[in-house]
Order: sequence, then structure tokens, then C-alpha cells
Amino acid sequence: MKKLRYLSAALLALTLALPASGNEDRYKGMDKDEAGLWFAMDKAEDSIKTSGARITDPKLNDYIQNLTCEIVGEACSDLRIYLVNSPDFNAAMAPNGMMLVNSGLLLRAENEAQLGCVIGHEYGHFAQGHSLKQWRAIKDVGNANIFLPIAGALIGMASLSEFSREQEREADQIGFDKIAKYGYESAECSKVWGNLIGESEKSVVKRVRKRSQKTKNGVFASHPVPKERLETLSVMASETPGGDKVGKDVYLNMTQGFLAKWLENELIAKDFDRHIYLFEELKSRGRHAATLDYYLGEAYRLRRQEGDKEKAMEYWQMAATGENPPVDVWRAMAEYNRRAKNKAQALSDYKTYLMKAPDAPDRALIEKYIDRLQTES
Amino acid sequence: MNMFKSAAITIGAALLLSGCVTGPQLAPAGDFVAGSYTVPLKQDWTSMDIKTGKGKPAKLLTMDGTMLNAVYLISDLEEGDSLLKERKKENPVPKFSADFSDLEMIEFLTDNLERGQGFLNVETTNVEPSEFKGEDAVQFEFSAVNADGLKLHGKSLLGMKDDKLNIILYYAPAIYYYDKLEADVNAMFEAAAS
Repeated sequence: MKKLRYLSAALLALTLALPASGNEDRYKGMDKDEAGLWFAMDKAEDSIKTSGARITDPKLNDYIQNLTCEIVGEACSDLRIYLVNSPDFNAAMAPNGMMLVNSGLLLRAENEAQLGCVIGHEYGHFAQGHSLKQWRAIKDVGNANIFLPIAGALIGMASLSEFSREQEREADQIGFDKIAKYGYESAECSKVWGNLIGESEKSVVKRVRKRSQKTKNGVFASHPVPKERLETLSVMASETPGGDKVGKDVYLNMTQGFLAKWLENELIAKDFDRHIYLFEELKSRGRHAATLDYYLGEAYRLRRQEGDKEKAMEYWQMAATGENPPVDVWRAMAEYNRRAKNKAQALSDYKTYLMKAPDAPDRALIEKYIDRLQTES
Repeated sequence: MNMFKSAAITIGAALLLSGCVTGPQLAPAGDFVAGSYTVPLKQDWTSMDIKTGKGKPAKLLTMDGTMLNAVYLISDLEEGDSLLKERKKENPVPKFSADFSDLEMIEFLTDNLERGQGFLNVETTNVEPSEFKGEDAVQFEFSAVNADGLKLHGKSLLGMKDDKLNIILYYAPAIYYYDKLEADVNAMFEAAAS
């Protein structure tokens, strides 16, 4: 109840502030509830625009924008898409037309059809005005008497995407219809959900593990619960099969340049069993094998359990023999060998690293190691 | 995880590493003791007593406020110590290990900057061998952006003595503020080396 009161208060404060916004035309024709919501979301969008978390690469932004426009059609002009560096497997749509797409979703989607399902689903919430309905429902039971700053309003907005079972189904159906109409294979939609369940079950974090049973909001909200939803999506796919297009190669190519960074972002959570499961899955789904082998090695190195150093080395060795591995593989192997007193191999690996990365930011340090190893041997 | 919620959390995260601040005090020009090492202050600074994740005392210096320049002086972190407080076991914070390599010490610090300070796109540059308290050490620079998109620049000296980690960390907005105090921080690095 406290959360509802805060949300109500924050939005009331923003609604009262509306005349001072200087952009009243934008809210023309809306009642006070809707205008207040839009105003709050416009403020949030202003902060997203300049956020350091935004992925600003024009090529990737154009690609996702175009894909979205193909899926939602004419409504595209009402949407503004922001790609955000966040490992969370999610996307969200605000009632003012701001759509946030997390790098965690871009990493895990296997193809255009899967990403399209999520975008179509989020668009479904937008098209049906679910956030506004949710806000009105909250307001009916809330108590608007406390004022909060914008940051509080942002947190309160979480409640706006806790949609009902019926709303989720409605959004799923819209997403299905959209991608099927564009010729994508709609069976891909249930795979997104299945992948989330598989990964969440591997987590050591209770909150993440519970995602396989229940999540609160965003595209992966759990009304209905995941397994039931998976079945519903499979039924929907049989009823609306769509075409046979999945758009895998183009999708993987367009996102390949971001793979290393997104994998690094994952490791920050230190949920290593889940990371290892995910990285193996991504490899089996066709993501760049040598990059994933390097980061699988990193996940084992960072986990620091019995036998993990050796396991890490196995993956790095696999990466080194793969196609276009990250140059850091040789530095990682050199560090392992230096600790294991395999001096000759460490020396060789450090030299290979510097040969492949002549402008390495740690060149001076590595050269010191090489000098020492040469002196010692 | 709701995306609006995560955006708000990132905004609030910038204060985490300096938790347990007791209040600012004048740190006059001259020698300044930071635990087990001493650094020279070329001018007057403001000093704050802070605590690491496991309650060890440390110092935070600033000239214009911690959003504009911050120097963290941390000494004698031991095996298992952390810079951030671990509130939940299932959400582990980076912990120091005495078997860290030079590169893992850097990783430990940048990991803390990402998790505790909410820094994004942390890129290390100019990684060089150095000395701290007469022992082999490593120093490096980094660039990053904060949640508001402000570009930051920083540098750090990291070294172990008797299996204990010592850190000097400086960061400031890349435009104007970083350059303003870099020479002062370099003098701290030089003094701490021996």
C-alpha cells in the first residue's frame, strides 16, 4: 500500500506541475490522469536521452528502429526506441511512446522473430493503453498525499507495468499478430520464454530463480505463470503460425560487435552458474564461439571454485584455436601459465598477446613481465 | 527487473562507496596520514572519514565536492575484505584476495566502480608497473561515464604489501576538473611509492 501511496503522490505532484511544462499542446485532449502520466514519462525520457547507459551506436539503433517499424507498421511514428546497456533480460514501454530495449534482451534473442515478439508484445500494451488503465486502478486504491521527487516517481512507475493476466494475453496476441503478419515464424515467441525459464533456474539468486515461477513486470511479467504462458504461446503459434522467416544471420551479424561488451556486463552480477549456462546456450544458438569460449573461461576464473582455474584454461585454449578469438585470450593464458610456473609458455603467450594487440593499454606492464620471464629463464 | 526502477537505482548509486561518511574536516597542506601510508597534500583539502565494506576506516579527500573530485585513500585491505557493504549473500560484492595478480587488482577496483558508483563503460588505459610502499605495484588510468552521461577520468595506484592491498583512487569529470588536481595526485603516488 505504501508503494501505491508514493506512486499516487508522485504522479499527483507531476500533474499539478503540468502547466509549467511549456509543452501543453502535447497533452491536449487528455484528461488529467493521462496527461499526468505522459508528463512523468516525458521527464523520465529526458533523463534516458542523456544517460550514460544508452547504446548510441547509430547502425544498431537504425536496425532496431527499422525492425520495429516493420513490425508495428504506421504506429511506428508514435514510438521512440532507446537501447540501454543493462544485462536484464527485458524491454519496457511507457504510455508516452518511449520504448526501452535492454542489451540483455538483445544478447539473448536468437533472431529477428524473437526480438520482434517482444517488441510486438510491448507495442500491444501501448496500443491498448494498459499503463493508463493500471494507473487508474492504482489511483482508485491509493492515497495521494505525499510528494516525492522525480526519482521516486521513476521507482513508482514499476507498478504501471504490473499488468493483469488478461492484459498480458492481449499484448501477447497483438505481438503474435504483428510478427505473423510480417512473415516471421510465430513459434519463435515461445522460445524466448522457454529460454528465460531455463536460465533463471540456474541462478543462485532467489529473486532471479523465482523468475521461472513468477515475475512482476515488463514483457516477462508472470500473469499467467511462465509454464502456463509457454503453453499458451505454443497454442497461439499453432493458431497463427505466420511465415517461415526468422532473420537469424542478419540479427547475429548486426549485434556481433556488441557481444563482448554485453557478456562483460553479464559478469558484473557474479551469478556465475547462470552465466555459464547462458554462455553455453548462446554458443549453441549460433553466437560467436571463440568470444563465448573466452568469456566462459572468464566466468570460471571469477567463480574461483575448486578446479575452476583449469576449467578456465580449457575454454581459453578452445577459444585460441577458434575463429577470430578476442586477443585477451592470450593474456589470460599467459597469466595462468605464469602462476603455474610454466614460464616458457607464459612468455610465448604474452608475446603473442602483444603481437596481436600492439596498442594494448597494458603494454608497459606486460613488457615488464616479459623482461622478468626472460631474465629468469 | 523493471527498467524505470533500475534507472532510478543507478541515479542513487553514486554515493555508495563513500558510505558511513562522518562529516567533512579540513585537511591542511602537508603530510596526511591515511592508515598505513602517508601522502603529501600540496594544498588544503576537505577530508572525510569513510569505511570499507567490512568497516575498515579509510579517507576520502575532495576539493570541490565529491561529485567534482574525489581521492580515496584505502590501506591494508585483507583477504575477503570488500569496498562495498554486502547486503545480501546472493548479491555478492567484489572481494579482495591476496593471490590477485596486478590485472585482477585493477579488475577488483573497476568492478567496484561499476557496481558501487554506477560508473558505465569503464575503460582502462595506461596500465603501468609502479611501486607502493616499496613493493611492486600497478597504476592505471580509466575513463567512464556516470548514469547522467557525464564523462569521467580517473587514475589509481594499487599495490600489495604483506598480502594487504593499498589503494589510491582519484576521479573527476574529464573536462577541467581532472586536470585541475592531477599533479597533486601524482605527488601522492610518488610519495606512496617508497
